[in-house]
Amino acid sequence: MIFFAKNIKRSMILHWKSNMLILADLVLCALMIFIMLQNYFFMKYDYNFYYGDEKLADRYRLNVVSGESDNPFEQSSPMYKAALQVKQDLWSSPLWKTNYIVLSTIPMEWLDPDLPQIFNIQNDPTIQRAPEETGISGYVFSDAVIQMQNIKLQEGRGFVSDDYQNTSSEMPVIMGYEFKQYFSLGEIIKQGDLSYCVIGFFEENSFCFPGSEEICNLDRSIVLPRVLYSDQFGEDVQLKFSLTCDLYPLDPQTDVQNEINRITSQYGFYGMTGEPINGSAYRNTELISGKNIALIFSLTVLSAILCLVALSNILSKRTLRDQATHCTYLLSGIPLWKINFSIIIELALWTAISVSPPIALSYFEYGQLFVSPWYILGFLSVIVAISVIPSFLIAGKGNIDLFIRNQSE
Amino acid sequence: MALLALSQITKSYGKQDKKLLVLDNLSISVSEGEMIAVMGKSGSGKTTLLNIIAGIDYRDGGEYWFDGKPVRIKQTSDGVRFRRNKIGIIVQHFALINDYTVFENVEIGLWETKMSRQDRRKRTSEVLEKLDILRLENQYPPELSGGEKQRTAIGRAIVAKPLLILADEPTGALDKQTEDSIMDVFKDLNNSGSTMIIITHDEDVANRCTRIIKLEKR
Repeated sequence: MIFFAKNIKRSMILHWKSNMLILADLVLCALMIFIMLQNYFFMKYDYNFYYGDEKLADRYRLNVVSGESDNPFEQSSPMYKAALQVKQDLWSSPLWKTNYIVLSTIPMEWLDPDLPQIFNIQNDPTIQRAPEETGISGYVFSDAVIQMQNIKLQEGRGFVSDDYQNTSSEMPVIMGYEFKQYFSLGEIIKQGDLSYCVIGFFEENSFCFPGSEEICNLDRSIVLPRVLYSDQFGEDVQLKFSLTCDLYPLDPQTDVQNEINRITSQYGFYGMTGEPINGSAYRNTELISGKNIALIFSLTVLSAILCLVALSNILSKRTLRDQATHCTYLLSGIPLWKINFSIIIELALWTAISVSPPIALSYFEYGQLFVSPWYILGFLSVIVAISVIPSFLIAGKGNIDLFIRNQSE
Repeated sequence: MALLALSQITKSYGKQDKKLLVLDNLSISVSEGEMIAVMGKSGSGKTTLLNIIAGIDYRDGGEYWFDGKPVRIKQTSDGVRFRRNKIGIIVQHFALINDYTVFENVEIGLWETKMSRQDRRKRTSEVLEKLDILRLENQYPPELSGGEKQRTAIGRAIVAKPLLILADEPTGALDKQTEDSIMDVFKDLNNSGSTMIIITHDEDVANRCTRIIKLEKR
């Protein structure tokens, strides 16, 4: 152990310039690998192709393929701001209309504990819900649903943009036809700290279409513009609904996936898929930012090669300059493998330090280790392992016989 | 009792028709406690003989016995293992490491032993004192005179108490006065029981040894 400690200390002081060059090389390479991996993880996702003779879909469901350790719908997420911008662009795109319908259940006592039990979903065979769900059938509609699904109101109004802003203390609610005998238009219902304002009633036998094939009667349902107590979820629920919504392209020939790719790539957001629901999809697009990935990959390979060549060169020259010292070590009984191993230990130290800038960058940008440092360390270790081969060969050729003769002349 | 015995040793350099025979069936025996001078003209094979004895070079033929055991060196690592704690080597150009102090240069000889740090320091200090260079322990080789450098090199060679000390022209780079002081050191070591082989072309140095072996150029 004393040999390693003494030799590494000697080498660090004596060869400090070459050590700094080695460190700079490795740091640059680590940053390139980090950027490549970051882009790759961002853009990597699978999606299915639906080619064939089926009719083209007029409805698509959005899905976000986010990283395992990150939920872009949480306000604390480094992807949150990007998610908001993606949502804005998706919802304002002229190529399609968007909407979402979310199934919900409202406890009966939240409206009126004396409501007849016919309003309990467990007693309504036409409403399909999980067995453990009990209460009034509820839905959350985005603002275009009523119009897009041609749902008629008998009384009152539909939702407006203010209803989605959570500015009022009262939750606006549109009720199904059968609630008319128990509530009146404009009525304010207070239950504890909850407060509702009845703004409309649907026509009798109104229906909505939450999924691809479901048809839901609204007569015994209430509809809200946003979930109750969304802050309980710890994430921005409205944002989540908005990014997992349905798209209705105005032209069936629209390459929906291509447009989604274009929007998400602007903000470095995760990959999103647009799955056609009721038909096949026109698709002529490749992996998002495939060109970018190819470019970054090429740069990474190039920087790795340059790093390898530079490291080999620096180490070889150092080993050549150190040959006299190595011969003295060999004369004193210190084996060659220890001399070589001390080079590896030194390089391992610089390699470990070189991962620090990408880690710092990752925390600065994302508040977390977006890319595992082990991937980068592994890649750099391969470069270092190949780089030391020439210096080992030189050290192995350290000829003590020649050393003694040459120095004596 | 013979510490080392070389029998019918041959060594050539070069390939096929350009081969140069340096050692031709050389046989030598060295007893414990001897101080032998090996003399000969340039090219007579003195350094080659020393390198074969030290396990630095490989003989082409013959047998080599050291401390009653046969010596077979096929590669560098064999030689390193053989030399460790058995043979101390002193060369003309001192072979010191300029980045280590005098103390560390001598202590190198103990780095491959199982001694504790405390014991290493104690032994190294003893050797430095014996060689009268304890006051220089924190100096670096470029700050030393030729004689001080050679004393440091001697210290490294003897610190692990080797069975044999080999010296290749140890006074070649020194002036006469320093040469005498170094030979006094060697004499003291020999009187303490160290076995020594000194390669030299200097008659004065050779005459201070107990036996002289002369090599003829082939």
